[in-house]
Order: sequence, then structure tokens, then C-alpha cells
Amino acid sequence: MEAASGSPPGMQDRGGRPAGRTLIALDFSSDLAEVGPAIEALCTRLRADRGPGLPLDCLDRVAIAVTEAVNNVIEHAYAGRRGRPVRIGATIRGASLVVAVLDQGVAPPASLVLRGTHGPVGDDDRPRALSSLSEGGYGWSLIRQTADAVSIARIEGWTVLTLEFDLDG
Amino acid sequence: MLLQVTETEEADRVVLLARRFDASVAEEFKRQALALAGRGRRMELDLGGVEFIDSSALGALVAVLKAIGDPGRLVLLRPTRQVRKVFDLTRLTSVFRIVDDQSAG
Repeated sequence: MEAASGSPPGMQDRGGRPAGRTLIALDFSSDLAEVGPAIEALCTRLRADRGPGLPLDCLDRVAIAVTEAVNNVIEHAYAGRRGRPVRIGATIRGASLVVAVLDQGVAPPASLVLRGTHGPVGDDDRPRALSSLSEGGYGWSLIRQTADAVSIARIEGWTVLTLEFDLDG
Repeated sequence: MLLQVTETEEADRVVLLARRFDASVAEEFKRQALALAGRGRRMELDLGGVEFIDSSALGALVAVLKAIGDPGRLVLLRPTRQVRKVFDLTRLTSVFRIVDDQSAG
């Protein structure tokens, strides 16, 4: 894992919004063993930047959503192939954290990113039959529940998934 | 070592030794835990050392629960704040038996 040089697509000022202040930029390869260190680097940097006022719940939500996003890149966009580029860029914009996750693999359907279904268990607390439980499909549901806004774009050969978090909790 | 197993009269007490229970260890956990489940004993899985869990690990836990076939025979012990939150978000709290106090397993 190394610090990314330059400004990857998707992290520049777009649509007239303030560009914000870069918190961290990370380049690593599509290997599941790289995900934990990258997420911990992001969270450590965020904690150092915001100080003790940053709610733990917020830190948890960032770690969950970004982990699931990067797992999806490795397991789906790159179909488990190692050695392909993954970038994470985190920017502070006002009271928000904006995290861009970039890859050069196969983009997921926008419908899955933006809507999808409820989690595999369902949307109420009724007891479930074990046989009806899914062993997968929890990732996008977790991303949509933990990020305050989710969007996806294809820019200059990169898929750019953008996750926004309200840092005030 | 990923799993530390202690046999008691009532159950296999299994301590998960990974600080991060994520996609990098989920497959190996599933392989080892399914082998344990095949012994047919009640399993108590101590998650007290797990600071972070992801959806891949949840999938592995669901696979183990389905193999055991009875939510009363797989008890998750001592979930940390983040683990509890992910179970709440996915509503898997309605599926797994989760016990906060280690002595109450």
C-alpha cells in the first residue's frame, strides 16, 4: 500500500461543489489481505483529523461501508483476480467525509448500488427459517445503511463509487 | 492459529483469534468451523476479541449455523460494539443466539 500520487479521477472538484480538503489517498492492489490495513489507515487518519469529537458510531459506519465497497471491487469488479489497482480517496467537505473508491474492473449495475433489496434477512424482526437465510448479499445493504449518500460513475476508465458521511453523526 | 478450541462437557468453546473477522479470514474460518460443527456438539463462539466484522464473515457464520441446523446449538458470545452493530443492521440478531456475558453461555 502506498500514498497515491496526483489526483485520481472522481476526486476533483465536480459540479461546482467545493473540492474540499484531501484527508488521505491510498493505492493498493486487489488482494483481500490489503483491505484491513487500508481501512485502518483511513480510520486512523480520520480520527487524528477530527479529534475526540468524532462519534464512534461515525467511525464504525465509515469502516463498514468502505470495507464492503472494497470487498465488492475485489470479489466482483475484479472477480477475485489479484494485482489490479484499487484507490481510496477521502476528502473533508464541510461537515462531511467523502470517500471515493476506484477500480478498473466491471462496474456493478447502478440499480444494485442505488436501490437493491433489503438485507437477506428482511426488513422486520420476525424469526426466520434457517433454510431461507442467505450466506451472501449483505454488502450493499450495509453500504446503503451506513453511508448517508451513495453514487457511482464511470470516469476515464475507472469506476468511481462515492460514499458520503455526515461527520456530526 | 485462527480458532482456539476448548472442550467442556456441554459444548465446544471456540475463541476466534482474529482481531478483524473479514473477507481475508472468512473462508478459512468457515472451513475450520464446519469441521468442528461436523462433530455434532453444541458450539459457543467467543467473539470478544473481534474488533471488526464484515459481510463475508457474516456469510461464513450463516453457513456454519445452517450446517449446525439449530440456533440453540450455536451461541455467539461477547460481541463487541462494532459486531453488535453489524448484527443489528443486518437483522441477524433475530437469527443468532447472542450472549453478552461470557459466564451465561
